[in-house]
Amino acid sequence: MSATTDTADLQEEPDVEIRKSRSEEWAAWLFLVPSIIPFVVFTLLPAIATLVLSFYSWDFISPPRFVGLENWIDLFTGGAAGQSVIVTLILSAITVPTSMALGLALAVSLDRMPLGKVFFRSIFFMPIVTSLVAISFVFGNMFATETGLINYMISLIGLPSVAWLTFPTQAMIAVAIMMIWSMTGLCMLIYLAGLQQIDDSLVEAAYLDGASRAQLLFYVIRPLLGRSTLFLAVTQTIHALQTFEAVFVLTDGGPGNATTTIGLYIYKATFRNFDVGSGATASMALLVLMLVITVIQLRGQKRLEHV
Amino acid sequence: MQIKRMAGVSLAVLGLGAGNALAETVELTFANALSLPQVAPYQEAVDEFNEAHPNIDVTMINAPWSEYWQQRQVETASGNLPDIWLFVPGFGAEWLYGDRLLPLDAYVESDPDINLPDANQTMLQYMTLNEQLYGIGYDFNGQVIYYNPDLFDRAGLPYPDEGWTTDEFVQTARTISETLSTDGRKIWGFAASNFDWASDGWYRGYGATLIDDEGTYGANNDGGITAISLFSDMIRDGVMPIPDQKDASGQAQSLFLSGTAAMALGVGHTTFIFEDAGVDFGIARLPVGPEGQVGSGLGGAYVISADTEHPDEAYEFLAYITSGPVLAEVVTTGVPARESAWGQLSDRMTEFATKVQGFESFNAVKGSFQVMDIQRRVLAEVWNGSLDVPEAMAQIEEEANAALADASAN
Repeated sequence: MSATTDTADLQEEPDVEIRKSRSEEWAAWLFLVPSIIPFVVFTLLPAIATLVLSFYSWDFISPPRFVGLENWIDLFTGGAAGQSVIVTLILSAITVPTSMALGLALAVSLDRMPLGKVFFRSIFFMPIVTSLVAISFVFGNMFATETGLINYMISLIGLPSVAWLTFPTQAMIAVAIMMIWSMTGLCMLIYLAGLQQIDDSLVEAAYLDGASRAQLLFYVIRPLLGRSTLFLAVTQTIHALQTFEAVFVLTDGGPGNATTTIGLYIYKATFRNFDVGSGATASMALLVLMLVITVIQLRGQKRLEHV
Repeated sequence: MQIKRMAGVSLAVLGLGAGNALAETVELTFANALSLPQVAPYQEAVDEFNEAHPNIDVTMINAPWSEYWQQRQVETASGNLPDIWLFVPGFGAEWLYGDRLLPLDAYVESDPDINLPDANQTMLQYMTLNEQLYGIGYDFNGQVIYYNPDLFDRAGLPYPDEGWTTDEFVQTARTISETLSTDGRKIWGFAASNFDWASDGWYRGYGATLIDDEGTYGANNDGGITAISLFSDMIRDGVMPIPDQKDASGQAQSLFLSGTAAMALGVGHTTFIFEDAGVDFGIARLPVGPEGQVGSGLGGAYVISADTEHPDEAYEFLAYITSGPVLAEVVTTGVPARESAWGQLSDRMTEFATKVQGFESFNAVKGSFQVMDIQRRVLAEVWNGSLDVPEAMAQIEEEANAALADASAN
C-alpha cells in the first residue's frame, strides 16, 4: 500500500512541476504583454510595413504601385538616397571621435579640479538637457553670414567673414561644430563617471613605478575606461546616424545635398516629395547601419568582460 | 426594487434623448495652420458659426505650418481627412489632382450670397480644375520690393515708380551699394527672400515660366537664364548678399531693418513686420521685365474633403468662413482674398494689397512643390558660385521633369 502511494506521489510530482512551470510561463507572458503589445504595434509592424513599402511607389493619395527593386537600386547607385548615407557617415566620422576626445579631455580636467567641479560639470552638461531644435536655431543665427555673432567675432580680429552655411564644406563644418558642442557634454559625464570608478591605488602604483602623466593616461586610465569608450562610441554613433534636427533647422540639407543626412532624406522624400517608397528604403538602410553598430557593441562587450 | 426600476427607465430615456440630440448635431472638423495671434479671431468666428447653427458643431484643429501637410498626408492614408481644411495651391496639388476634394459648383450655383466676383480671381483660377471649382480663397499674397527712402535720398536716387524696369531696378541697387558702402560698413543694394513660387513671375517677365502648359519645367531657356543671372550677377558683384540657405526671407528682413539693405523682396507679412517695427519704408511694385510686368500671386484657400459625410453642412461653413465680413476679422497679417474685406486693413497693408493685384497664378500642377524644392537646392549652388547659371538651369530641368513625371505617374 505504502509502496503504491509512493509511486503515485512520484508520478504526481512531475505533473505538478509541469503545471507549475506552465503557469509560471503564462504569468511571465502576461507580465510581458504590456511591453510586447506596444513593441508589436509601434515597432515591429511599422518596421515590416516600411520594408514592404520600400518595394512600392506611393504618394499617400493614390494606391501604392509595386516597383520592385527600383528604390533599392537608387540607394546603391549614387542617387540622393545613397548620397545621404555618405553624408551621414562623414558627419558621424567627424563628430563622434571629436566629441569623445573633447569629452575625455574635459573629464580628466574636471576630475583633477580642486574647486568648481560641480559648476563646470553643470555647464558642460547643459547642451544635453537643451532642445536640439532650440540649439540649432541659436547656432543658425550665430552662423549667419551677414548678421551672425561668429562672423562679428571674426571681423573683430580682422579676418574676413565666412559664409558658413553657403558652401558645402563650410556647411558641413558648421553642422559638425554644433553637433560636437551638443554631444561633448554626455561624453564628459560618462568619462567622468568612469574616472571616478578607477581605484586610486592603481594610479598611485603607476606613479610609484615612475609613470609620467601621459603614460598614466595612455597605459592605465585609457584601458580602464574601455567600457565607457565602447558605450560612448556606440551611443554617439547611433545618435550621429540619426541626425535630423540639426541639419533640418540649420541648413535644410543644403547647399545642394551637402548636409542631407539619412534622417533628413527620409523626411524630405516622404513628406515633401510624397515619395514614401524612397523614404522607406532609406529608413531600412538606417536600420541596417544601426544593426551593424549594435552587433559591434555586443562583440565589444564580450571582449571587455575580463577588463 | 421599484426605485431601481424607475432609475433604470429614467437612464434609458435620458440615453435615448442624448442619442437623438447627438444624431441631430452634425460634427465637422476644420483644419488650419495658424500662427498664435491668428488663432483667437478664427476661434471666435467658429464659435459664432456654431452659435448661429445649433445643428452643426465645427471643431477647429490647428497645427504649425511645418507639421500641417504631414498631418494631412497621414490622415489621407488613414482615410480621416478633416471635413474642411486649409489648402495652398502647389503644396496641395496631390489632393486636387487626386480627386480628394469636393467640387463646389453645384453649391456655388445655388448659393445667392456667395458673390464670387468679389473673391480674388487668381485664387479662384488656382482652385479650378477641369472647369470645376474646388475651393475658395481666404488670403492672397505676392512679392513686392520694400525700399528704404533714407538710403535712396542719400544716394540721390528717385524712389521706384509704377513702371520701373528690371534694368532700372538693377542699376538702382548697384548705385546705392557702390555709393553708400564704406570700408567700415557695407550697404547692400538689394536683399532677396525665398522666391520658390514667386520665381515664376520673374521668369515670366523674361518670357519663361516655372512650369509650362505641358507640365514641364519652363525656365531652362534664355528668359529663365537671364532672370536668374539678374540675381547671380548682383551677388557676384557684392550688390546683393548670398541668400541665407535656410531663411532668406529672415535675412532680407534683418538687413532691411538694420538699414544695411536699401531694397528687400518680401510678401504681405513683411509689411506687417516693418510696420510693427516702426521703420520708414516704401513699397514698390515689382519691376517690369522685357516681356511685361513680373509677379505671380499665391494664397490660401479652404476646401472640403471629397469623402466628407456632411457635404452640405461643410459647404455652409466654407461659405461662411470665406465670406467678406469673416475674412475681414480673421485675416490679420495678410490680404483677405475678397476686396470687400479690405476695410479693416491698415493703410500700409492696403498699399501692399494694391501692389499685388493682378498677379497671376503659376502652373501649380502635381509635383510643382518638388520642382520648387529642386530649384531651391540647385540655385543655392548658383548663389555660392559653385555652378554657373546655364549649367544649373539644365540640372534643374532634368531633375524637375523627372519629378513632374513621377508625380503624374502616381
